[in-house]
Amino acid sequence: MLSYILRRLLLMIPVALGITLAVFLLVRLIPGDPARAILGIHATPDLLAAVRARLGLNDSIVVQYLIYLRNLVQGDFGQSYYYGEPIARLVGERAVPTLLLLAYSTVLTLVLAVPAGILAATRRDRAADHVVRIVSTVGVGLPPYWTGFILILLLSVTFKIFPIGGYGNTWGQRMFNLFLPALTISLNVAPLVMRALRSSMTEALGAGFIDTARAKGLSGWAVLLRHALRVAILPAIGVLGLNIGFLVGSTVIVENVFSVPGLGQLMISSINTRDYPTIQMVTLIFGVIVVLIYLATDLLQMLLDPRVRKAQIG
Amino acid sequence: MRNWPRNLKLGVGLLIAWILLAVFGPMLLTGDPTTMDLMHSLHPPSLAFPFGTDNLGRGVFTRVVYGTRLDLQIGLFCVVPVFIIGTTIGIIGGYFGGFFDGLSMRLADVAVAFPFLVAVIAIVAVLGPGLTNMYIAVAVVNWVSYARITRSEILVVKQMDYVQAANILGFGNTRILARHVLPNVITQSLIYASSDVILAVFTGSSLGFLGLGAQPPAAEWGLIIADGYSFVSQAPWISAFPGLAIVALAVSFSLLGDGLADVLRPELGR
Repeated sequence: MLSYILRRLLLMIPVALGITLAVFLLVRLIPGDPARAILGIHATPDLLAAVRARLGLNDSIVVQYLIYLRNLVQGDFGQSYYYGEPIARLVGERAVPTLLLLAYSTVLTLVLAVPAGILAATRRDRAADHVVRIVSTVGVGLPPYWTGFILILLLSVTFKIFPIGGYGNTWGQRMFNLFLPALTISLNVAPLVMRALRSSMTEALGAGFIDTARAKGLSGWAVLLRHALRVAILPAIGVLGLNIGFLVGSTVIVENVFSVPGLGQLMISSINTRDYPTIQMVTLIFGVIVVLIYLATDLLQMLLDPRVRKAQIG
Repeated sequence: MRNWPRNLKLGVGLLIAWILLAVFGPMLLTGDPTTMDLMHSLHPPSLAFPFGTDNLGRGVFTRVVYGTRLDLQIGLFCVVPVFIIGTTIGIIGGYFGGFFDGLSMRLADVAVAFPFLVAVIAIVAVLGPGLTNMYIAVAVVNWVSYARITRSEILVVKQMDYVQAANILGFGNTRILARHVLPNVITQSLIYASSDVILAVFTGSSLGFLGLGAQPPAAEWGLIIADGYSFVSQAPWISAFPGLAIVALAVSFSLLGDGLADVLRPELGR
């Protein structure tokens, strides 16, 4: 098991290098002179030269990349042009709301998808199944910036239950304020997980070990939750893992809709202020988050599924 | 056609309806989607303005109908180029293997490490906002899905007897790939493409919403929704209706995709 984890970590090195290279090259995509793009057309020659030197534009591109990597490793992410503070601190502060939002929407996704999936599988082709399937077909098609609008309209403006946006100072406030943003994201992702669970649950319920469990005289719930769900949840977790990129991408929109001071909001405001080093860093952090979640999903599946565990080690 | 599953019939029918609406809808309207009319700003839905008007007095209905044109175009321009590029890369890489295959798959690993939307936004951030740059950004990131799908199919097809037979008969690689391999590996990409249109429209309207895609005063659904956010309590109709259009379009394409999957991949079953 340890050797598998080690191997999996080693495999991440080329991807990690690739991510940094992609993010490094991103800023070279700026048409024309990056220094001028950052400073605007009225910049003085002295200022341009200073920014070029700061970006290391006078070195060869290979040297520039190696310097970039060295700085990353040393935790020197550069200085934000707009905020005038170290990007490391800026990104560190903004990462907390984003990670909280991610965790929150994952939990809400499971809370919505698991009961619905079980219901659909056990009532297959009956009314409840059809309702769940229709709702999920529509759910996948809900664009987050619009779902957010409808939720604000219903629950904030009309019924005044939740705030229209913001983050809050205490953890309690944050959990309360982030409920609508998290719900917005999970309404989009839960249908996918639900569909996967419905089909894996249907398959599991038809398997021999379920008959055995029933024959032993176990109650319906015990069979369902302790035996069928234990097997059926694995593909659903896989689907959730595969869609994590989508989920993380949605946080960018949702943070801007609900004014959550996270990485996504930082990214868009940095675009408006042409703060390229910050855009670069936020993009990198998002990439790292996704790669780490992929890793976590793999390890979780291995922990939960003895078959995968055996296949990986044996 | 009579044997088509119900969802495919419905999906194709709705797709035709969308195309007709995009092509002929604007011709049937008298209003203009961008002309301001401050005398009629923020009117609720009425007979004259079925979806109401926005703060600049523009009819939301007119803007949503014109938006159909733009958003379908976004779907088309985001999907067709990456379909062609990605499938070609997947076929060449999967069939010949070697350095090109290794390189393209490593690039793919890096591209999928970033959340799709984040990658597109980052590229648009440096290239500058606007639809053309968005198409470029989507192409840079999204060829990966098609290349990976096609490649995994081709690795199987390559071993099939009929491909081996064509090889033994001395057919050229081009002929084998175009006539024997391509028809057998393309179906999965086609099914994926029909759901990818939804993702494309989502991406396009998300960027429009964030101010990075279509630029005002263009009638684009995401942009219209963004316009309405400031008037959520006064004039909710501004954002509500274009959103319904997106949901309806998404449902149409997901029916189409499910239907295609049922017909082209009967072995998958239901």
